[in-house]
Amino acid sequence: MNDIELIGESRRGNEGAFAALITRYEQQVAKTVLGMLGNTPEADDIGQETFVRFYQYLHHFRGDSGLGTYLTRIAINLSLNELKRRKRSMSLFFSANIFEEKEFDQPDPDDVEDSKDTKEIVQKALQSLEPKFRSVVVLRLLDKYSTKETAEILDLPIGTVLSRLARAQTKLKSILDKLIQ
Amino acid sequence: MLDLLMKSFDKELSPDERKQLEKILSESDELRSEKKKLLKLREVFSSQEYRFKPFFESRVMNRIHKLRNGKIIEFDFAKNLFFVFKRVAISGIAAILILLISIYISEGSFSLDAFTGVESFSDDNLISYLLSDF
Repeated sequence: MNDIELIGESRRGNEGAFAALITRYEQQVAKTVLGMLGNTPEADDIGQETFVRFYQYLHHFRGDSGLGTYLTRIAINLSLNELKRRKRSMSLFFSANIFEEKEFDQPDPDDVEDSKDTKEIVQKALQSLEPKFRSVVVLRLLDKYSTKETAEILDLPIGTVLSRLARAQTKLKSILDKLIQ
Repeated sequence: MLDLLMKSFDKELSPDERKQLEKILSESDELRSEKKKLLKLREVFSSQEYRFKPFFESRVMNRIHKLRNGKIIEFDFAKNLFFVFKRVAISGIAAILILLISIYISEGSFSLDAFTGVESFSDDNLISYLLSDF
């Protein structure tokens, strides 16, 4: 069954059809959420919430964009909200100047060197980017959306996406220098 | 030139820009090395596999079931509240009606004097009543 048929069945209360949609898009949502939040317990929770939100708004889904894009949009917004929540809760415990807007956090080079595998190194590099840069990298490089689609999902002008991508790549290149030699 | 190189990965360049980039790429070892690095960087990212912990689908479905049950409980609570409120409202209206009838029977009218139980009620006697020393 294609997505539209599965959505139709889900609307009629067929749980098996909705479960099939979860299986079909789990990996795509995982890329977005784990890319944004890292491998944390909250990431699994946000992944679940993405599908729960979709279930709640099942009757509102018009199919203007593909289901994958629709789910990615929910996932990225929930992830950005989670990052804001983290920042707020951290600022309750630490002085505000620690959280002044920084485009990039420089990870400890030893940390990167010590990382066991490429995945971990990439994840550390990704987490060192400020959320607005990370979201662009996740959508464009991990999820492989086009620049136009990335701009639409994030509701940004294409020029902004391009400039954020360029700055993020410059940073990533310096962190992952050994890996990309 | 690096900006143009980066842009070439994400946006279609104009014929002039493409020519310019090709020319510089053919002349500059440094830029060719940058291109190689950028390609490798993109390859590293696009080859990443991400998965949630096992039984993700079951966890989502459980959450949906809980949500549905929660909605049913919520609906039942609202229904019960409305039912209780209806009974209280009916009792209240009945009590008010009985009070009005008893006032009319004992006083013969619905005047302010009848309601307050004070004859020839005026501002002056209200003030003296309030200021009086009990």
